[in-house]
Amino acid sequence: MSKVVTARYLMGLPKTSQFKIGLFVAVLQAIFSVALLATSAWLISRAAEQPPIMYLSIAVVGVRGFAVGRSAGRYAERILLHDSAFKMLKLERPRILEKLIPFAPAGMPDRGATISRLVNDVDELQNLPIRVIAPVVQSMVVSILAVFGVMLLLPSAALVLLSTLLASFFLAFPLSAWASARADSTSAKTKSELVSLSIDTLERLEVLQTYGWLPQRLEEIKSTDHRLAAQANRTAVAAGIGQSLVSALSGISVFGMAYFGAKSVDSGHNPGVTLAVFALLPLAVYEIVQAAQPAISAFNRYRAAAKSLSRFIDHQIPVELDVPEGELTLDKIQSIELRGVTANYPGGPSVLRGFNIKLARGEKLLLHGNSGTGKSTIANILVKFLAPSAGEYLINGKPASIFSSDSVRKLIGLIEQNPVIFIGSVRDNLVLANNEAQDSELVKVLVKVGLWQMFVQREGLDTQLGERGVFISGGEAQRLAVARALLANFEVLIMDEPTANVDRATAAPLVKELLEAGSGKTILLITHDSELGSLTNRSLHL
Amino acid sequence: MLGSALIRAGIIWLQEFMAQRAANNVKLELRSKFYDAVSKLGPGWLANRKIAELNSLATTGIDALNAYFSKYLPQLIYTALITPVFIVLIWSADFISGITLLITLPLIPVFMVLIGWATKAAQLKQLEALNRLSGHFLEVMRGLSTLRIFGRANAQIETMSSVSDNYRIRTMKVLRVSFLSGFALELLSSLSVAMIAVAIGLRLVNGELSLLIGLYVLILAPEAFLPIRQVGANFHASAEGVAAADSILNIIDEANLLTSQSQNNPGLTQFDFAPARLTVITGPSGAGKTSMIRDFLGLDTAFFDGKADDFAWVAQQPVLFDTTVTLNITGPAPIDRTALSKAIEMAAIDDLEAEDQVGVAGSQVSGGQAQRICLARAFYRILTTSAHQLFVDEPISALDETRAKIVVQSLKKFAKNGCTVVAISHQQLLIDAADQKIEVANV
Repeated sequence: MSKVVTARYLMGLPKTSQFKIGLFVAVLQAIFSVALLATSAWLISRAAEQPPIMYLSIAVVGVRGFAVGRSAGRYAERILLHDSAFKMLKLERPRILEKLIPFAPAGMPDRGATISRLVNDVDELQNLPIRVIAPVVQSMVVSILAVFGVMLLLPSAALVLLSTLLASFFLAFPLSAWASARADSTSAKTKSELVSLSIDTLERLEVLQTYGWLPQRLEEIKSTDHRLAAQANRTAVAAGIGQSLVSALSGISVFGMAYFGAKSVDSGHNPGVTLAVFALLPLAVYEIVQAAQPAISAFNRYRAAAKSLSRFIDHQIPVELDVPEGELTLDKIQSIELRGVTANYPGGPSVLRGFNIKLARGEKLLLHGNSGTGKSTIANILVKFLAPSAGEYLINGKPASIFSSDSVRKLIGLIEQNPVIFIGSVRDNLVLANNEAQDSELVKVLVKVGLWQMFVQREGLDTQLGERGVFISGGEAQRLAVARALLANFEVLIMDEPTANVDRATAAPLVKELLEAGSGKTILLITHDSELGSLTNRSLHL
Repeated sequence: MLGSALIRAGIIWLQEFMAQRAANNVKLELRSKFYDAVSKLGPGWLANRKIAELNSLATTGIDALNAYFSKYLPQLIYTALITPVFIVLIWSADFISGITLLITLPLIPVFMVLIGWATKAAQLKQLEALNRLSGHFLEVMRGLSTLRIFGRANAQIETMSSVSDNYRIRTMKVLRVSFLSGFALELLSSLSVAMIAVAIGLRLVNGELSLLIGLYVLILAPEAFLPIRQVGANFHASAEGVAAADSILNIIDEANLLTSQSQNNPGLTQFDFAPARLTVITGPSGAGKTSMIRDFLGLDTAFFDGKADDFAWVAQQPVLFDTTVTLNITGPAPIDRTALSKAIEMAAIDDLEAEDQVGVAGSQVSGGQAQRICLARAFYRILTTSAHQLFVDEPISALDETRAKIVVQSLKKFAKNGCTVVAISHQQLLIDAADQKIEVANV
């Protein structure tokens, strides 16, 4: 078994001393609870022989001590285990995000579904420490100790306990594991289907509704839900098999141990006081063993989640997105150039072939092309989101690969075709670009892009933009994105269709304003609108 | 004895199964009602909600109800039935133990209620925090490219860690209280059992009690406490599901209220758009052209069957489904091939194959292609259904001149065939083609 595989199954395991202490407390607590019943049984049997009270006082203290210890231990166990599990999650979540970063935007998997799946899967990881390891270790240790303890008193009773326990662990549990494994993994898949279907429906409700496609969609959700329910029923049956088998084994164990115990007391082999212990001990042991039963289902779910997460983590970054990272810091841009560049998106056909372009410092170039001719691809290459499959990307005449991507992106900025507006205020959305900017600067750029007048009528910089920027129009979102880019002080500005959602009447003035705001800056304006060409030094047709 | 153990085993199985079935039925019902309610409340209602939150409410939130139906409820019934039996059994065997039991047992539900009150507010807060966390993830993913552009993506890794930690602290606060309640209940019952056990022991020493009765009571005593203790434990486990169900029932109620109210609430905006004409609405950005049309179509008010039957609407932002070009145009209904190729032609989709995938949220197509697919969807609707009004918002904003011309021609053709065609646009090309112009002034 390779190291990778082991690591995959243990990714949800907290490696902290807190977790180890929690595990220790969990075992101790379980021992206490068996000891409680055993001591009580002994106490009563011994008391029936009416010895002087002082012989009993230790056992009386023991009963009370074990009772308090068990409850306190249980409390400490749960706190310690949960806290360590959450601390593990805190480490895993950022890891997933970090892995996802290079995929944006050129190789971004489906956002809504991916995120829901990732969130669910990561949450599922906490099952390992809390619902798998703790109860399994607990029940194993208690079982072994109980068998050894009984062995000292009466080997035949120990044999009964041992054999029923073995049957529980190696027959009943695996049987229900086998039965529930399939149901668990398919239900995890169905569940994620339901989640993506649901978010897709909510996000696109308007189209589904106005086009009359909603009823079919709701049917689809319903049938997925029914499938999920059927799978849950199967899991329940499987879980029931295990639970009732263990319950039956516990009955057999009590019966067998009482039988052998009675025989040994009859023959004078053991004192009478032990009989109650023999009869009651298996009850306490089995209560703990029973608790380990859901561990199998929990482990199956954990394994499915861990598998899908590690598949995601092990997933090689496609060559197209694996943009060579340099060590040099780019501090000034004299020129940028693409020479014979061919490019494609991960797994897709070439969208750009043998493309050439050169921009000198301060130059303003309009790149004109019809849709589908790879305009956005050029933008993605220039900010090092995408690596060309052939040809060269040169900055200041040197390969762009020798510069660090961060320093390139500090100087070359992209205004995306569909700018992302984050939940929050106008200010939140602007300081993203420059968190040292004063309010006065923010207002200045808003004036520049023609938005301030609108926001000042609302709540100024505190105007809330809502989820997906629903409170502002497409054109306003574009302007805000431009304002954001101006704040970031890029040397080179790439505008990918900045006027796509802006009024025709104001498109030219806006571009003009932008070019003015960016005087001294190098600007690449990518558009399908050839009329804007008069505003730039030169234009190029794709 | 062996027989009764086996019967018990069988009953356990049956109980597990029945509880799961009941939980599933309720979940199915609740989920289906939720989507019905949301669709009735409509896109306008949805726009003011956080989709990630609603989604987690409808999926994992409802799933959390499992604990309520398969654990809490059966346990509650079981406890109510079995606890009196235990009391009677112990009472009849040993009077003093019975009294002890009768005094200590009611303390458990009293404590449970008290602790429950204390944790309820915290529990709700936790659900909020959970939703915020899931919303935070979605926001970051959605805007990851923008964050990268501004060099903020890596900072988000750090933020994610602190958001997670914040979540941990909040959750632990809740758990500490609910575990403490478990601790209190367990301690209470342990001590009660210990009290009974020690009392029995001492009375055995004095010869006041026979061993048989002593043992009998001792075995029964913990069993008498167990069910009621588990009610408490299961109650806490099911709190998340109950809170989610509560929110969902509120949404369903909200939708139900709509039915009796404004069944026919036409938009405030009243227009007489001429049939068989191409009307173009112009005006500066922010003058409210889009909201005017949305209002006219009643898109942001409650949605009822048949409301959208006679129009096709293309919003400014293209909305694409992660499937083929064809299915994005035709939807789930059987495909009318002739109408499909006509719609594709009229929307100038000459650079995509019908079976091409558009990718997630249109990631495999350009902005212009997305726009044309959405137009084709509306064209196809007009061609194949009784809808005879076409409303388009900035239909050619992302198109090159040649294709924009084709689209404008198509709009004119629909008008010529008797459709009411209304377009919001700034493009001169489209304005020039208008049969009628409406100028909207800045507010």
